[in-house]
Amino acid sequence: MKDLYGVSIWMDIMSDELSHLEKRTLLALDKHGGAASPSELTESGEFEQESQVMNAVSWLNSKGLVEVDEKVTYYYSLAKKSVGDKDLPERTALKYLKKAGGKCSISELSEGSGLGGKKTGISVGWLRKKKWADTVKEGGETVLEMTSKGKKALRERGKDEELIRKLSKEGELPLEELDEYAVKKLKSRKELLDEEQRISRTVILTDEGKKVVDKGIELKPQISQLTPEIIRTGAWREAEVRPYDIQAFAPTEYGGKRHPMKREIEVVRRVFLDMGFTEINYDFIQSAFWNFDALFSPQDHPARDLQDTFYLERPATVDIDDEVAERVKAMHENGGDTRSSGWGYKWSKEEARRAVLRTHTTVATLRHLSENPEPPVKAFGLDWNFRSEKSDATHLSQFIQIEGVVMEEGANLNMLIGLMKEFYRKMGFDDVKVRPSYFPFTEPSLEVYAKYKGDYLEMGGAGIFREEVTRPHGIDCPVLAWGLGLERLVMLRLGIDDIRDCYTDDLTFLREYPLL
Amino acid sequence: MPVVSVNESELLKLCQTDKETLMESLPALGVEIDGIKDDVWDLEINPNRCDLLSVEGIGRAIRGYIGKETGLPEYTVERSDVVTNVEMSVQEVRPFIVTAIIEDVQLTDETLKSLMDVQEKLHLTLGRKRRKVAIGVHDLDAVKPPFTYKAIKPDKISFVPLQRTHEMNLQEILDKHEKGKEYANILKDKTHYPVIVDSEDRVISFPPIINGVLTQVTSETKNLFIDMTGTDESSLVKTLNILCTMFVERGATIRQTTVSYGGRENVYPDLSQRDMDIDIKEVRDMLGIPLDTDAIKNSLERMRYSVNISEEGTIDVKYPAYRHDILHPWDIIEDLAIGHGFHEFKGEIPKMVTTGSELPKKNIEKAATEVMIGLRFNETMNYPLSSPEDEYDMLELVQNNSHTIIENPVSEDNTCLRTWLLPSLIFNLHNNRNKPHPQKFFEIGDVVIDGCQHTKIAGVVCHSEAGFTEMKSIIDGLLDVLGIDHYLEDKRHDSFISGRCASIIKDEEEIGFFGEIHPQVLTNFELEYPVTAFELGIKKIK
Repeated sequence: MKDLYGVSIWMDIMSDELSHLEKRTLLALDKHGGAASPSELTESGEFEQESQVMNAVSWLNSKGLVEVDEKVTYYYSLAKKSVGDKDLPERTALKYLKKAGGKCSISELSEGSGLGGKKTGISVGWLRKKKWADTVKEGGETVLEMTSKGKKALRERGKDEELIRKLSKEGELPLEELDEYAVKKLKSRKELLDEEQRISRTVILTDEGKKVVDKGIELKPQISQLTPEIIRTGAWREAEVRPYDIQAFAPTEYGGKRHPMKREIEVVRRVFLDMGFTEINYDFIQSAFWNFDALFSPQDHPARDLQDTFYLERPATVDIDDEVAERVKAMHENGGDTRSSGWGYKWSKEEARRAVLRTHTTVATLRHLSENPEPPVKAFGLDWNFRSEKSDATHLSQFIQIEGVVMEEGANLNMLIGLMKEFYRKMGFDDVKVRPSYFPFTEPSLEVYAKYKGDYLEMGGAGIFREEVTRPHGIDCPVLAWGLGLERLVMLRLGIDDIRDCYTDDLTFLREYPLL
Repeated sequence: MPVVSVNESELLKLCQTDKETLMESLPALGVEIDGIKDDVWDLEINPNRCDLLSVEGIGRAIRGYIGKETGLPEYTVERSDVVTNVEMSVQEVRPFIVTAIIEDVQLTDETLKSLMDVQEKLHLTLGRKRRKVAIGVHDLDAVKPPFTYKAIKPDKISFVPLQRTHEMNLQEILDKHEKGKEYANILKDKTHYPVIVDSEDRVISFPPIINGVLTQVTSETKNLFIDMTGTDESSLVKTLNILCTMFVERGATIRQTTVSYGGRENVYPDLSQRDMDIDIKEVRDMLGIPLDTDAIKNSLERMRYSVNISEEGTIDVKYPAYRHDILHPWDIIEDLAIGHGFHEFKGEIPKMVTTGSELPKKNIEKAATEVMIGLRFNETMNYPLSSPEDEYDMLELVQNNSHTIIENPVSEDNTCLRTWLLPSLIFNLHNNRNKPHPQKFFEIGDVVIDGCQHTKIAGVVCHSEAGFTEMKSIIDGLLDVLGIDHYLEDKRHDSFISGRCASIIKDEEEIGFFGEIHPQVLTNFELEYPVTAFELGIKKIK
């Protein structure tokens, strides 16, 4: 029975202890008088598949509402259609024997009957087994002599031959409709009969089941999938939504996600934006001037070696401002108008014009200060830096620094240390300490350590820009500056062991990494 | 940073303290303990403190820091009559030389080894791999002063260099001796090479390459002659002071020597103290913690300064000759903070209230990211370095000259900056080719074309039915949400299938492109599903 929308509707029965399929099976069984095969139930109960009935029956069986009677039946058919069209070899031989006057040699039989060598042998065997003929030796030859049983057989077919005729006519029959002895005999011969074993089940309503049916089974219309029509017409009010097996497999769904490094960058950005910092960025390609000279790294400083810095062939040079260059030159040669002695060597503008991939983002903060020399300035940036070394589990040749500066009246070392502690506290590290360090562009200089699993790990460098660095840009206030490793911080926060894994593109990880 | 390996018992003896105190005070002084294995300590020295490159120097600093021996170490030196005459010929090669005599040294195999270590570390740091400063240490008693420092033709003189038993001329040493080969580049293109000879014209040194066996130092040596040659006199003086004061720590006596530049005479070493005045207010302003005069004096004395604070608030500081790093009063203020102890700085937050602001481009980046993630793209983050093979060849493009070229790359994959993002994104698909599809990646990142940096957004879609129409829907959706009016034009691009690539035009300017990736490109990347891709300039969007 189908309703207007093609959804099957079943009326009737008892409590919710039975599933929809179970109810339908009981009802169908009742229609058959309490006993039926699954295929009968499938048909009369309008199930889509017999497996639905079998499934329901197994549940009903476990509840004692039905029993299943299983019977094994053997079915037989002819192995080939030709079996039914031809005589058995012994019959052919018998007919020839008659033609030969009741007696002939085996070789005559073979030639005369058309049986051929192999079949002649089979026919002789069966002639003797069925006692249709005897064999005698005559002059070195084996000779067949028809018996009286053989003569009788000429008039009537054997039971095995009757069976072949029957199967030839009917096609397939169960054992119970056949002569068992003939079946057994034919089964022993090759390529005559096919045998198939079939289990037939009969589902029988138990007394308990009968009681349930008699009480009445209420069957609501069932919905497997809500459709716009069902919702619009309100048909769902009269129906029940088919329950699912909630344990059944469903593929896990991961939506699109941000890359974990970008997420971490957002966390860091948020901290500095919250503290009132302005975000800045400058280009990867810088002059050696901004990367080194303006940061008071002498031109023969080891960090400027090819082993540490990527120099560019194209573009090979970057133009620098002559005025600023003159002031920086003075810082290097003699300290200019500061109290510094400078490095005391001859500074080369050519060297300063060489193009490099920046080795630190301190370039960016200094350039920002140079463009904004009036206090207060609080700026930060997170961006790529480059060092000419091979990447391994603890080093990257391309890495991101968390760069920042505070330039204001009265900025001091204690504030710098306070800021570093505050930043790492916000990133989840409460125990932070600083130790003296050295950078050419800061004085004092320090290294920041955060405690992680009992050890203090180096997180980055910080310091106060030297006067030789700030003076050429007309900066009069102290400048607190830092450059902290992003990857190291993220490794600790996300539990990454190999620094290269920070930038993984493994889709499984990118899809599945937890956000909390 | 230089790492020195020092013997534990030597270290404890010279520092006059125990292991535990040392483990605490070394880092507090800025010396990182890299590792302790058996009885050898590996210590990382900051490059501004070359006076700490020897166990003697570390001892001197630690004794001050822990209060065993504070204030200025003072040195008395007497003049000797040893003279080194400098000939004009060295001006073109290696113009400067400084010298000193160390008397009554007591060398053991252990201290000899330590001396060689210090020499090597000084060569690396202040010496800039011997280019700027090269050090020679000689047995003074094996030769007869005065010495002559001159430059001669490479085949004009022969001597037996260290590690050899036969005479070699200067050219042979450069060509065949290990040290010659190692440092030959310093003398590249020079027609004359520098040598130091004694009064009998015996070669004691061929700087900056090697000494002669004649003056080889052994544990029997009593008196040393030190020469340092180089290109920068002030670096030579600093290095000489560090080495001489190190010997004083071992009880030796330093004697001054004369270097004569054709009548102009310089006397080395000058181990007298240096002076600097510091304003006490500047100290307090810079450090940001209340420090009374006692604390200031005490802290500086622990760092081996002598201090005199005037009533007007000027700190008269004297510092030892080995402190090559002091260029500016702030260098001393830093030492004051170290002497006081960095742990004493509890930290405070800057008081100035400012309003923060993001980069303007972040707005577009965030909006675009939101859309892409909504469209089930996964974000990737790829490195900025690439190579022309990855930028052009893999994408079936003809190489052009728009990419940067790194002069000294360390690997073949990293020889230029990215010129577009799609090669990396397709590589992301390659890396995930055995994972379930559909796959969608996007990235926002910077590229450099013709030396100019641009921010781009790019995305790829890969699945069995990926096609132009799907990508067109995505592009239209993305640009609509970002408020970008645009239209499409046919585009020819060799990375894409001909007739399935579009230019995205806004205000008659191309802001990006998209289409179906060419099957040859897919084959290059070993991809077996079709891929569609887009790339857009972020700045051009606005």
